[in-house]
Amino acid sequence: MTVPPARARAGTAAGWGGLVVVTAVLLAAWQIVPSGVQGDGSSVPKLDATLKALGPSGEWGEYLKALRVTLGEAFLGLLIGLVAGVVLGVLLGESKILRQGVYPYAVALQALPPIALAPIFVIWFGFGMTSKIGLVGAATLFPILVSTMAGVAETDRNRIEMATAFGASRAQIRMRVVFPGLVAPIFSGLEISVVLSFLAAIAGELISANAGVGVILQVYQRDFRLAEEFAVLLILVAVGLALASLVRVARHFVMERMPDE
Amino acid sequence: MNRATAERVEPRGPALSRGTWRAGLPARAAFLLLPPVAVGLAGVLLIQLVISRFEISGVVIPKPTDVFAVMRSDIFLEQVGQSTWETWKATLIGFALGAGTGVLLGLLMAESRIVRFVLYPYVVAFQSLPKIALAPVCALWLGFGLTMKFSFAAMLAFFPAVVATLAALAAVPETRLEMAAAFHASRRQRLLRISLPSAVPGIVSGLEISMAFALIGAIVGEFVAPSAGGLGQLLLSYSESINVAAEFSVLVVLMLLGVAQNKILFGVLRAGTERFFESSR
Repeated sequence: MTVPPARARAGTAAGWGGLVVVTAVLLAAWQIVPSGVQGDGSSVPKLDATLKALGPSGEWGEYLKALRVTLGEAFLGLLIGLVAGVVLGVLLGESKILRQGVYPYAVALQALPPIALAPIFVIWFGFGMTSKIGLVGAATLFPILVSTMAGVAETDRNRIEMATAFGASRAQIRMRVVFPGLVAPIFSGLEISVVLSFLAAIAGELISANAGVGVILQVYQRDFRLAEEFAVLLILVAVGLALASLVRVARHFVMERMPDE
Repeated sequence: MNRATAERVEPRGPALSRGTWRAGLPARAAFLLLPPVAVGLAGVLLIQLVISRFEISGVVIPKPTDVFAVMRSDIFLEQVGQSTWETWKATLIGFALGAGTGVLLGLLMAESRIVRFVLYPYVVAFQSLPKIALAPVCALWLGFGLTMKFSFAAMLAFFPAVVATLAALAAVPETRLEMAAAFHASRRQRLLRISLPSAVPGIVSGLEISMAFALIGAIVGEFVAPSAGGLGQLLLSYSESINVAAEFSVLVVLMLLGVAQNKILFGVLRAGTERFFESSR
C-alpha cells in the first residue's frame, strides 16, 4: 500500500516525537524510581550513579582489562571455529558419503547447548583463557559449518557444467567456481558466529575463570556495586553493536572486491 | 537452473514421493540409517581402542564403555531424571512467557508504525547485548531458584520471537494485502484471514530458535545460581568431583533433550502448521 508522502512525513515526525518522549520518560523513571541504596539486593542503580560509573571517574582500567581478555578469547576462538567450520563444511559438502554418515551427528551436537560444554573445557584446559577459547571455538563452529556446507551444495550446476565443457580440471572448478561462491554463505555464518563468540566467552567466564567480563560482572554483583555492573552491561551493548557492524562492513568490503559472475 | 538439469540433478526426490521407486519403506529406512549408524559405531569403537591402546586418562576422555556404564546405573538415572525435569520445567515456563509476549509485541510492532518506530531501537540495543551477561544481575534480583531460571530463559526466548514475528508479518505478500483493502476488510479480518495465516510458518521457525534459547537460559541460570538444581548443577557437581564419564553422560542426555525439543517437537509442529496453512491459502 502506498502512503502519500505528506502522510508518511507526518508519520515519521510522530515516530521521532514518540521515540524522544518514551526515552525521556524511561530515563526520568530510571533516575527517580530506584531507591539508590547500594547494597540493597533488589535495587537498581540510579541513572546518575550509572552515568558516573561510565564517566571518566569510572573504573575504566578494570573495564578495559576485562574487555581485552574477553575479546581476545572471542577472537581466537572464532578463528578456530571459522577455520574448522569452513574445512569441515567443504568436506561434508563435497562428499555425499561423509555427509550422510556424519551430518546427523552434527545436527545432534548442534542441539546440545554449547554453554554446557564449559565445565568440561575447564577440566581440560584450566581456568585461564585457553578453556574459553576452546568453548568459543566449539560454539562458533556449527553456524559456519552449516552455511559453508549449504553453499557447496547450492553451487550452480550450470556453471560447473560450463567449466567442464571448457575443459577445466576438478581443481580448477573448485578454485574458480565452488570456492568464490562460498564467500557469501561463510559471511552469513560468520554474522551469527561473531555474536555467539562474544556470548560464549562471557558464559565461560561466568562459570569459572580468573579474568574477563564474566568475572568482573560477578565481582560487582557480589559486592552490590550495581552502578559499575550496569556500566559494564551498557559497554557490552556498545561492543556488541560494534562487532555486528564490523562483520557487515567486512562483508561489504569483500563482496565489492569479488570478481563479477 | 533450467528444467532439464533440475530433473537430472535430483531424480530421486520426485520419484520417491510419486512412489515409482519400488523398494519398500524398511529398505529405504535401512538405506538412510546405514551410513550414520556405521559411522557412529566405527567412531565409538575407534575412540575405545585409541583410549585403551594409548592408556589415555579417563579425565581427558572417558571410555565409551565407562559412559555407558554410568548411564545404566540406577543412581545416575534417578538423578538425571529429576534434574532433566527441573531444567525442562524452567525451559517450558520461560518459553511460554518469553515467546508468548515476544509474539504479541512483534504483532503490535508490525501493526503500528509508531510503536515500531519507538521500540525498534531498544530491541536492536538489547539484541546486541550478550544477554548471558545479565545472569548475575538476574540472580541478584530474583534469587537462586526456579523464578530466576524461568525468567532468564524467558528473556532469552523473547527476542527471537519478536524478530521472527516482525519479519514474518513484513513478508506477507503485498498483493494479498491490497486485495484485502480492495474488499474493505476490517483490520481484524485482514489479520485473521490474510496476515496471520501467511505469517505462521515464519513465526513457528522463530519459536524453534526461542525454545533452543530457553533451554540455554535455563542451563546458564543453573550454572550461575548455586541452589537452582537441574542439569546445569548436576554438570557442575560432577565437574567438581572430576567425574568426567558422568559429565559426558549428562551431555548425552542434554543432547537428546535438545534433539527432542528442537528437532522432533518443532519438526512435527512445523510440518503440521505448514500443511494446515497451505490448505487455508
